[in-house]
Amino acid sequence: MAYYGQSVNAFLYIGTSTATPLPAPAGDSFTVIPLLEILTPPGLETSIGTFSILNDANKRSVGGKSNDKVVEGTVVIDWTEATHVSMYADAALAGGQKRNWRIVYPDSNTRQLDFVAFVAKWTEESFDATGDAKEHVAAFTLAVDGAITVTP
Amino acid sequence: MLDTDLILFLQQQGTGAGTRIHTGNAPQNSQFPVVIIRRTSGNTPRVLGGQALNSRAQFSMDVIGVDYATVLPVANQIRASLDGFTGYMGGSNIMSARCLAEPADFSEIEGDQVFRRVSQDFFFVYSEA
Repeated sequence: MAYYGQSVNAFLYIGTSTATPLPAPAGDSFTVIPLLEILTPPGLETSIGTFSILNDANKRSVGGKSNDKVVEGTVVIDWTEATHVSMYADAALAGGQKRNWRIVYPDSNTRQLDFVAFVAKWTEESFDATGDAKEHVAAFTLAVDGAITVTP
Repeated sequence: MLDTDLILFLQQQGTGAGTRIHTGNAPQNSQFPVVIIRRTSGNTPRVLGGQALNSRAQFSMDVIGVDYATVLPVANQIRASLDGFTGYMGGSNIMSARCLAEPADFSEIEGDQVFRRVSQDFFFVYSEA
């Protein structure tokens, strides 16, 4: 058995290059996003078309293209971390700043997802005097462009 | 450690309890009033990379004496000095300190002697980096 926990040792990496076209992941350098609190890997979903025919009570369905893939998560903001500053700057760029991104799983094989994406959302939570001084957190969304390469 | 930093901090407030600020239990034959602090809960959340975020801790603080006239001023001084405190307390960096339960009065009867106890709860968010 090689199942694993979901509360520690999962990592999100941001690629350095912003070149057009982007280099392959092997030719890029990656930096881990520190203080990552929640990370939701991209889900896979195929669009579905259904139709009925007159002489069959059962519905028929056909698969279409893969639906939009996004990576969602939260970080505890630290503005001395260059990666947090980069994510904010990327999110402010109209058209989206595409980069190579990588997710490394905490399993024994260190399963790895490589994909191209841009920061489509960066929303910081409110400053709030009504509660206790919890850490200031930003929610982000990465919009995946193209295919996801899984290793191993 | 926040527990020991709290004791030192309260001892420096010049309350009627002086240096009689203790964790858990008061020593036998202690003079009164005396302050007992107890950590009643706490946790330190972590991020996916394993780094610790700020710790959270709740403390109950009891001031014990023979009459309210000596106990209440000590309890009020503790409340005034801790509620809203931010900054360094010894090696602990306090992000937030809040009085969760305002001072409440209790009486303890032991034989033919009655003790007065004023209890209050505080919640701290802090780091010990």
